[in-house]
Amino acid sequence: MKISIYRFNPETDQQPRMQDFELDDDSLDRDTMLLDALLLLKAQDETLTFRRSCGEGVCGSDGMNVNGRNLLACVTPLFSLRTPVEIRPMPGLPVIRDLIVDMKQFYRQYRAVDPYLVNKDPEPEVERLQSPAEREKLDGLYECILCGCCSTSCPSFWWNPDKFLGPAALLQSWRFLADSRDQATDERLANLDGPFKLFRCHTIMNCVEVCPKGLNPTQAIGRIKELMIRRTT
Amino acid sequence: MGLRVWLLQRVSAIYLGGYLVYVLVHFSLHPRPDYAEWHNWIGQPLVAIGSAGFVLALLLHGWVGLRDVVLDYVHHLGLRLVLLTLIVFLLLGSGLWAIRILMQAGS
Repeated sequence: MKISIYRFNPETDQQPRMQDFELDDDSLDRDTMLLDALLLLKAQDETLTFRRSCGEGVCGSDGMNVNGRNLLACVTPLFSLRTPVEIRPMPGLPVIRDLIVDMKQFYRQYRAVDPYLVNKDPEPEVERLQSPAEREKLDGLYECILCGCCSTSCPSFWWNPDKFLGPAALLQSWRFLADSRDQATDERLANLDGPFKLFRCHTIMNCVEVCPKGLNPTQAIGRIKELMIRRTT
Repeated sequence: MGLRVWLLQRVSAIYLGGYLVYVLVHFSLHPRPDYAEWHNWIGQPLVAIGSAGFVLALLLHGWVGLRDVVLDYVHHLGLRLVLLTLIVFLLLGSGLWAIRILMQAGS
């Protein structure tokens, strides 16, 4: 199988380039994931660099752009991909080396939405309880693994990564706005107002299209707008 | 600024859609008006006011859309301010022109 991979080492290279690799089909079977293939290629050429950790779609380390689409290499069956497979780093963030991008901007936007429970009541003896219905509202929100596939496929995030929070951070913002135990609704909404942080979203929905966990940031953004309208009228 | 402008875009879109449906229905019921018929139609107070509302909604909607394009793509602060100002003047000018046309048709 032919695989073409983006190579760039800023210490030695002037320009990034695409390098063609060939994988022996005998070393592959139906269950081979893209990450397995990358590990085989790394055995061929140990300078090939990429992030990986859990290998089962939980840690969110191996987000990359394959045939023009962001995905997690560890949960993508190799034979589901059109050949020759073209692998590039996730777009819109600075490349550190090969398939590794600098996620600093992404994490900064995540931090900017205060992704933690804010509750000013005195700490109770037991846990802060929720009804099953209240807990259900967090389904489809808490599962985010912060792989960055959504935000780096969002044109609005490409154009304004420092000002627009991006789908991943906004999904987390809604995760805490929707939490019955959180008491910072007004502060959170006030923090999101203005033309950039939330309202650069033009419902392009690339985020929904690529999310490896099947989450829906566009819907979360819509819910935030709905809540803003309800709070101001 | 964020929410209000976004709402303005949605509300103006609804008005534009409604007006468009009205105009399409009107002209499919009364196709090919001559000048007198056209003048008579646009001169009716309700139609004139509705059309003025259409122009206003169109300008506001256009302003939000063009502002979005500038905010998305133009990152140099000075250039952005110049472009936004130009757009406002262009839209204001078009609005005044349209109102003049409507006033002439109504008189």
